[in-house]
Amino acid sequence: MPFQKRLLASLFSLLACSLGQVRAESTPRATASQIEFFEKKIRPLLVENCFNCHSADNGGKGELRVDDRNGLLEGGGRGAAIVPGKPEASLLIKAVRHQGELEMPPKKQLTDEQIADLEKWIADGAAWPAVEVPEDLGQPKPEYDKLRREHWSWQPLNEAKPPEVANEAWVFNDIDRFILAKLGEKNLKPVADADKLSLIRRVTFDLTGLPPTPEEIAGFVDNREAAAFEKVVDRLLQSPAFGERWARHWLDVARYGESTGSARNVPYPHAWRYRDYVIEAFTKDKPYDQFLREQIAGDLLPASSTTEKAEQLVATGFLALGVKDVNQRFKVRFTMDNIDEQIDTVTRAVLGLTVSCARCHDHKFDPIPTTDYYALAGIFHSTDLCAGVRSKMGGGGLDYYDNSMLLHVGEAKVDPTAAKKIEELTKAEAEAKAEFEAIRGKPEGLALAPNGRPKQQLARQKWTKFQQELTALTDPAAIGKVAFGVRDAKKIGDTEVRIRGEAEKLGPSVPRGFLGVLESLDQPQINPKQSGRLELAQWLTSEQNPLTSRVMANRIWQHLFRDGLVTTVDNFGVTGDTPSHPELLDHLARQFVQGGWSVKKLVRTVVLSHSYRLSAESNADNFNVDPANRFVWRHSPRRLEAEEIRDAMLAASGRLNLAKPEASPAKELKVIEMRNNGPEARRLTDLANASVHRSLYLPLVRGVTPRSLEVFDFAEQGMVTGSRDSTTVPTQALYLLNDPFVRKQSLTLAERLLQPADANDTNRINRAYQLAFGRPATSTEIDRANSYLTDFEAATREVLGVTAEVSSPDNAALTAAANQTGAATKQVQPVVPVNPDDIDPSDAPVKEEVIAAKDPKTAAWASFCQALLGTAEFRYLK
Amino acid sequence: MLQNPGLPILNSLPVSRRQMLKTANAGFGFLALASLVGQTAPSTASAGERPVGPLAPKPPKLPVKAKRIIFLFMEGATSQMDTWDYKPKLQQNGGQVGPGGGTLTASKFAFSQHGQTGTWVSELYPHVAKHVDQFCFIRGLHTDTPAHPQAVIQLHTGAAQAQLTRPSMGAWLMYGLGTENQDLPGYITINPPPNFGGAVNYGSAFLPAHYQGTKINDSGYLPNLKAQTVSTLQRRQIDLVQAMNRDLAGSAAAPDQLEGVIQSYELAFKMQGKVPELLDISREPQHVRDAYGVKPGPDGAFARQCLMARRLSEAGVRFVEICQPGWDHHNNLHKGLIKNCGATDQPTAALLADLKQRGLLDDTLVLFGSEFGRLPTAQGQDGRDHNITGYPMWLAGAGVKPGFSYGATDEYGIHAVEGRMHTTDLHATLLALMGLDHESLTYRYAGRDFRLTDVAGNVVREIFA
Repeated sequence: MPFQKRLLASLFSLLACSLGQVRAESTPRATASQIEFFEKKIRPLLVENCFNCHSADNGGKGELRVDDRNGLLEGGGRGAAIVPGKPEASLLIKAVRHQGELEMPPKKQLTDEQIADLEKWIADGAAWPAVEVPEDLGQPKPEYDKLRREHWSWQPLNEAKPPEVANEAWVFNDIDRFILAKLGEKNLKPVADADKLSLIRRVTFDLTGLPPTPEEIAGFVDNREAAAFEKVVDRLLQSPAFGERWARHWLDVARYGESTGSARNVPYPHAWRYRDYVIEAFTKDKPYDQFLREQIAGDLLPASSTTEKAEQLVATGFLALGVKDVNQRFKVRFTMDNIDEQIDTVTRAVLGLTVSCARCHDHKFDPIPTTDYYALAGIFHSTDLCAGVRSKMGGGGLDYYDNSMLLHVGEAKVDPTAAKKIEELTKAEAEAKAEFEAIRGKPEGLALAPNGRPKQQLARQKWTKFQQELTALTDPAAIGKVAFGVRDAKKIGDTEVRIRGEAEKLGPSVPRGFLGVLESLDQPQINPKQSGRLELAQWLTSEQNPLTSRVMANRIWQHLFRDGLVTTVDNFGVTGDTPSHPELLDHLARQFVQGGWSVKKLVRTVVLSHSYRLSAESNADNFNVDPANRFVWRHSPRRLEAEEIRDAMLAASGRLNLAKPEASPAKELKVIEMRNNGPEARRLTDLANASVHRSLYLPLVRGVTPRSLEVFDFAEQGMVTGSRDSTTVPTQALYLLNDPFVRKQSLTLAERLLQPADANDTNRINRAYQLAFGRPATSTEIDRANSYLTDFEAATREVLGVTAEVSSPDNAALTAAANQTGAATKQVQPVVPVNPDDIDPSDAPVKEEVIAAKDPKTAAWASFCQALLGTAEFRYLK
Repeated sequence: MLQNPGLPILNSLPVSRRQMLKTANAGFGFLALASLVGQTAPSTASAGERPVGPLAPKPPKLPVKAKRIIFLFMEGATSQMDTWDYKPKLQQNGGQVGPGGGTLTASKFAFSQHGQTGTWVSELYPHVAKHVDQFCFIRGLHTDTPAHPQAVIQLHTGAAQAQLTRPSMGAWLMYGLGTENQDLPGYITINPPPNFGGAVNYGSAFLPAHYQGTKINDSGYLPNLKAQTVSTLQRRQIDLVQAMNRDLAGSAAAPDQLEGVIQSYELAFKMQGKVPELLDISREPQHVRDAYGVKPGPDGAFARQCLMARRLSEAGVRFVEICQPGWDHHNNLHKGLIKNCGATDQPTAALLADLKQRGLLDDTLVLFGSEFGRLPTAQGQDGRDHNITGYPMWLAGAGVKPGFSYGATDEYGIHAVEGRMHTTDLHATLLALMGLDHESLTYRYAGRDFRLTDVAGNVVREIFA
């Protein structure tokens, strides 16, 4: 293990001598007496006089903290507070002398003796007690060595030959040998094959997320050729819908979202470019290794054209779109928290390893020492995270927007005529800002203007208005094409272990590198002039890396069989599941790599196996042995995912628009904190409700998840989600009964059925069944439907009167009632409050669309159609 | 490390525990699944009557001190030195420089002693003050981040780092205890903050979605709850759906969750009737509405929430949170406090009296407080800045000592010096009051067993009745 040795050697050398970087160390040469002086004189002085405003326990006024040596060295908005060895050059000394512009502490001057102590302390190098480095940091652990050797998932792929089976006729391809052999071992027998209807519904949803059309079903069912199924599969693999469906799987893993979420929810208006990149990658079957390399190091890869470069840059959005706490007071914490988020996402998504556990201490279960974590952290520490945001303590308006942190993916169009306007606005903006600052928090600012609002609030709005106008003319996002992603930082270098994960507590520096858990894998040498992401990408996508291929092969299997061969799809570590078919998993991983990392090829192989084509029918003998169907004796029925349910409803109603919409509705959002009851959220919700595009194009601002997705266990956008829940709760039934979207699709479907005036009701019922379930109705079902329609129509006439609508008349009253409370009585207008933390939680008025049929007959058909869409048959695949 | 010895080991089951939770039903389809994995359903259960499934009531491990909680969340951080925390020294030394810097500012509000216990309460809370003998104060709270967004998230989910999405405390309670009333959501939050993490504060994160909180507003609006068709017509439609579902149930390829699907429709139908009724406070007699101070418009929002909270708790909702925002008094402290205390005083007192009169205070715990406190020193002309190093909350009702005070801050109310309780200690203690051991209430996600209290948390038994 050359890497391990190298790492340890360098660690020891670092521990033995001191580090070159000033930031990295805590005055290693401080003498005991200097420390004593600090503890006796300086610390109490700081605690007594400064901590109320400048420490981790409070707001960190002026972004300065004095409870941490690096805080003093870095300083706040005014720059470094101390320069060790140079009291005269230290801002802190100037401030406590009360001689300049800055007087600290305010309203109270330190004694001459105290000031002298501070001067002496700085002159002597500003000693601070060293961070205690745990003794076992970087030390070899015997239990880790054992785990490295023994745990299944990080061993090289095995080369087991597909087993011989007695029933050769059952075998369509090698996958079936593994499955059948294991079934035999467990005394299980595969059930019969699925009927053709179930099979085409299954494969069409699995591959495209859409139902097959009645014509596609008929074409397959009537086709007696041996290769009929293969033709269907190839058609589906070629359709753009395949790319959309499988892109969404990856977006779950990539915790895709269009805002920072968390403490202050700030939009990512360009995130959709990454979404579109992922869709295109799966549509074009971009090799998975290349797909990963682009997402991790696209900016560092060679490109043959500007288009290709732009694509590679957009790909790095993978590293940028996570949840962020932009309200974090301390830059160093913001940086380290974001790095942690990136490490967590990359390692779980690609390797199925929970490396993030090693942020504070050596991993408790897997052989991932904390030094490995910081070896990776150094790579991301040398990387600029360009998500268009900065961290800031408090703030409103565009305060969190940082347009220097954007990637340029197209020519900027500078309007030469705008120069004068820009000049004027720059001036106006500066003046408005000064006006606001001058009265902020002062009596004149708090005095009320004629409209009843504090004057300072109006001043803030004026400033924000000029800010926005100026931004519209100068912002790279407004005048050119930009994307979120990463680039190498100006400062490249290793980073320090943070003791107990505390960002400020610097231990020894660790050379940038990868994980020692994969002993057999060569570690590429990191280019000292680059971050190391390029080499990380190479290491991850090495054909010798057994985790990358295993994890993805398992994800593909999971999306086709409901459960992975390893059920903990994002965790292949010691606490994860073990594979039900280890040899099959390795066979698939090997095929995947040998097939040029082609997702489509692997999907094709799997769905053409006999195992995939089994019926979903259960039987007692098998069930008693393997109720969870881990050994694949049948096909596990699955509930459609939220997007499939919504898309299938739109397909049934005939309103589904398969064209790819331009960008995202979130594109229009300003990079200003969003609240989930404000007008922007309302607009997104309205757009989502009205959309007839495929569900993956709905706006996905965190915390404002469209209802149609939310009710059916949409991926948690805050984290890597390799497998979604499939819960059954009454809110789903309520949605299916009452949501305007569902009612609208039902009514539209009813109108679609009723439109051919010459059709008879039996044909219509059959057509409805075709569109909802892909099959004609049975004669019993036709009878039931007919009597339902007759009775319902009569009951509607009776209950509501001949001209009445389906909709309950009191829906209007409900809407009115909702409008009477809270914000509803106020003007709904985007106002920027002076204190952005004072936000009324009352909801904006909820106006639900009223869906009403034109007559009792249509009402009866709409109700019948809604019943079909509400059934289990509609949303479960067998 | 955080393995729960009482739970089966993940991999030793044909259906993993996680998988079961993730795919389980609200209805009795779960029963079959439960027996498959060797868990015994309640022995006296007849499938039609006794609820089973992930939200069915679960017997807690520890003695149950409280069956449900009502949390009155004062979002924005109430100034404790103007309300609950009388500091004579501060009143004496107003205008002087305080420890740690800043100018001490005495409260402008008069304090007096109340009840048998002689507890000091300021004139801002005359109605609530009448109930102090039932209160159990915790006065030594402290937390990690002096900014609302992170502190609100930490108070609700335990996450010290706001960018980590973690399950909310209410979701953990649902996971650990299930719900008392199967016809209602077990965890309801009214008017939660629309920012500061928003839905994260009542979300389920990696716990299955059925444990998340249900958000309603103070007019009782809940999406999709109102039947869009008259009941008789809708019932016809449901009967048709159920007939088709039962057809499918008869086939060998029926999905495992089918019984749950059937059940969920019945439950939804019931909820449409019951929940709006429950949330409709106009059904309360006039004298009750008057006691709470119910009125239309934003000024009556908190009173409406209090009355809804009582109705929901009475109906068996395990965890109800209501919210009064607008306490962030960096300026306008004086008038702001008069306004906000005025909005909360009468409704809070009425809620306590109402719960007591109905006997609900015996098994319902009321918690009142903010994400942190404020400093005794001045900010600007008329304001106070945030303080995370020492602040109070109070509890009342089930499980806690009445007329008791635990912990204390220093003479000015800056630092907690006695009976210090971190947010995680508060969480551990609340779980314990509900009968849950915070160390064994774990959920495996991303390779480890997570807890509400992460790796910390001490149960403060001193406050237990």
